[in-house]
Amino acid sequence: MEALNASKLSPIHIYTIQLVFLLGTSIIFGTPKSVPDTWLIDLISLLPAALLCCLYAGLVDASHEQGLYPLLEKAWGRYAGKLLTLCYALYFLYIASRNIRDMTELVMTTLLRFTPNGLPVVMFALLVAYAAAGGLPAIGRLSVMIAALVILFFLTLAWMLYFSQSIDFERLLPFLSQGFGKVLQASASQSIWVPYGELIVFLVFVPHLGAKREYRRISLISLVSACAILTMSDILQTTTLGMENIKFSVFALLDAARMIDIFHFITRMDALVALIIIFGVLLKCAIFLYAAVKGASRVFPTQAKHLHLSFALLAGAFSMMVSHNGAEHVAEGLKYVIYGLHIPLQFLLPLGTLLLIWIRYPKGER
Amino acid sequence: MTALGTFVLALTGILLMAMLDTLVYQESLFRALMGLLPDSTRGPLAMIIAALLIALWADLKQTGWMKKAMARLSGWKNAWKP
Repeated sequence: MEALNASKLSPIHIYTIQLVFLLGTSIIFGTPKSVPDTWLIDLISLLPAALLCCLYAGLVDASHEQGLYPLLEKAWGRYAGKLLTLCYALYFLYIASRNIRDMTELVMTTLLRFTPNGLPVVMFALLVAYAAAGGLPAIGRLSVMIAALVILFFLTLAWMLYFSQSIDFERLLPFLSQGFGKVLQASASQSIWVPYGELIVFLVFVPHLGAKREYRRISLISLVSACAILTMSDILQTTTLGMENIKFSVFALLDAARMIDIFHFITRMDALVALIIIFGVLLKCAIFLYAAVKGASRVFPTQAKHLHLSFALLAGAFSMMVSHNGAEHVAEGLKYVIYGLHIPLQFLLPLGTLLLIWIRYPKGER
Repeated sequence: MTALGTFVLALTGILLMAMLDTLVYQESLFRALMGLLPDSTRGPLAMIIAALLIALWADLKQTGWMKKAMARLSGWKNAWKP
């Protein structure tokens, strides 16, 4: 019991982990550019994201501080539960690999143009394995530093863009040129699932997250903070690049950062953007890896510490195999992964699990 | 079970990526697999093999197989001593 208390995260650690997790890659790539008013999509996504969080809070209540994997076994039975646990472990590993691919795509285009693709992936996989092997308290301590750095770099970028007179708020117009319906549709089909739906990974760590009510409150605060920062990032990208240019930009914040020019002296601040994504992806991957390892060590009884390095290497290998090129990677992520993986595993299965728990176990037994 | 877990995750991961490729390119699973494996050159394959070897090593360490083997070896060595 004492060991469990020692591994419980403090509220500030939970907040910073969730904040950096939500900002992760989304702060760089921005909201999918299906409609011109991308900043509004982010703002509107807050409400359904909060509802999704309520579903996860219901699962936290039902799990009695045991976490997602024991809950799956409790709801679906031993064998189906183990199969679903394996599905979730694979899903977390796959998402980690997609994040590594996002990071390497950006780093290879900005910083390491002539370095072989495999080298940064292997180095990063080793780093992620080391971070995850430290356990959740170590990730929590790391997250405070990363949150501070990411916010500092983002504010520095905004400040520099302002002083280089690249920001023009008229670029936000015309407002709602394609109507409100399109914005709502984009919000429901894309923004809820990435990044807000990915918060499902925190259900694995319920035993480390402290009291239920406190966790719910901290989750909502981090959700609102992340939404505010992502909206600001989208506004910054749109006011710098304009609605037409932003449609064709893969790394919108990177392209915005390239507009920085203060007295022809401070220019090309690409490195700041690369650092934001490196730090964000490091934390995100460490969390996904930790969750995947926990799931796999439950299905295949073994000590979790032995799986970190192997799974980190697997995630690195998958990141190179996940798609043939950058365009396919983005298209796959925006369409097929959302409908094929995110919606079933972030919404349908948790909802089914909660309903099964309510049906199978009356209130007293629960 | 570490090596088995790593092997299953590696196999299902490759299958998942091939299945997503079937959706993207509207082709059969076999063709997607064949497209996936040769395309990803030696890098990913080497990483997967390294992951499996590390997991196998962890399994051997956990079962104490190494210790037993070393003890047996030292036993043989001692048998030759006068």
